[in-house]
Amino acid sequence: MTLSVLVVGPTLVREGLRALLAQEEDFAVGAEAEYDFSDPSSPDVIVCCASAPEGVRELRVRWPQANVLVVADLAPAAASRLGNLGVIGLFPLTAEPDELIWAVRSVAQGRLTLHPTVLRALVAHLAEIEDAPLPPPVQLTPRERDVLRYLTLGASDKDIAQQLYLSVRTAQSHLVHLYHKLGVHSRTEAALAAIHAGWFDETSADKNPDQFSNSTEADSRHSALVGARLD
Amino acid sequence: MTKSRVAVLGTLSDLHRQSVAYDLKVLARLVRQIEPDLLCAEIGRDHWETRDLARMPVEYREALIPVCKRSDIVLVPVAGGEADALAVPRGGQWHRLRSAIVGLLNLQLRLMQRLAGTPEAINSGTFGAACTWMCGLIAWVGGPEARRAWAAANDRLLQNVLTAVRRDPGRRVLVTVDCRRRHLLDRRLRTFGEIEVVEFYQL
Repeated sequence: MTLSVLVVGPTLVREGLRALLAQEEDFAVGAEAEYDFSDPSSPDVIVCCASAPEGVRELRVRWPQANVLVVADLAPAAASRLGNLGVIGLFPLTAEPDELIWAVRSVAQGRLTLHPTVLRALVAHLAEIEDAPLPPPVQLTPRERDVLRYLTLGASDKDIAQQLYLSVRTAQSHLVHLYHKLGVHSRTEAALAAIHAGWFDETSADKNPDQFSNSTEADSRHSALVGARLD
Repeated sequence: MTKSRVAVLGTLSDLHRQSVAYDLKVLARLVRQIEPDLLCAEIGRDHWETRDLARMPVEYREALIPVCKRSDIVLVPVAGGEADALAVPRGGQWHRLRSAIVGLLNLQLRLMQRLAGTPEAINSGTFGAACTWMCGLIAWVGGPEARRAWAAANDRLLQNVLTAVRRDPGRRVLVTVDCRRRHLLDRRLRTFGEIEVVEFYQL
């Protein structure tokens, strides 16, 4: 079975790769310049020599079915970003020709294919992230925590005030303090920050006990609000 | 620390159903005009949180809760016990006689409320003195158990109002209670330094 391979990138590198891959009998290799974009059929593999995320994103949009192999010298963070864009093959320019041909076949089958040097760099990068000191914990008062909890449920200022038996102005004042402490500018950002941090996950209610000093009456009325809002 | 401004407004409970000058429209308009930050209402927290409207007095169900819904007023339930804490306990000594006398006194009280008519009159000092005297008499006739229940309900109501005010200091708070309690509560609230008690029309 013939594998259709599209090579994309700066001319010199692209032509070099094309010449290398064209030596394989079962590869039908085309370059971006000569590819018939009106052809609805997607290439099996796109070998991309450019590491810019925009270019890769564009390729993924144009041929969402194609598997993408990036051949470039990448920093680990950039490699990680490309992974998030759906790239499943990452090889450096220093890879051996045989390795590259094997990689194209592997990527064509949809396998995650990383060159050992790329893999090592990524693992080291992940370890660095794990070891990096955490940002200082956000110190919220119990009342601010209650307000934030209702915010994540989509409650309005009045809803929050009514649930906590506070005036609307006081609830709004807590919101302003919350925005300042969380470094955000809107209720949506604040709610997303709380959700992202997992502060109110059912399974991790006490995940960060140092950050939140206690549980207040709002905890017991959490479900009441959901019920009320569903009405 | 900024003092909370608190006003206590007496309502007529079941008498609001009847054609009196101080009717539900007047009550709703009053609260809408005052527009306090918090409305401490003499309804049970359980009834409020389960939205059990059927068990709430008519003035809340048909006037005050709708006003709160249409405004930024936050309702805080502060009831201290059953509304009819002045009733004669069943099975006590001279139960039937006590009940009959209490019934007559209650009738008298309702007549006073009806004659007073307007919110200004209901919340006036004169009416308050008469009402306090009449409620004291009813509690005395009702016996020690009725007196204890009445006092305990008033104590809990006071504590609940204080809790609400202290939770959110510096706000304008309107407390709406059955007019039989209004003067007792008003007098006791004035003893707390962090609260400035004013008339409802001054809030």
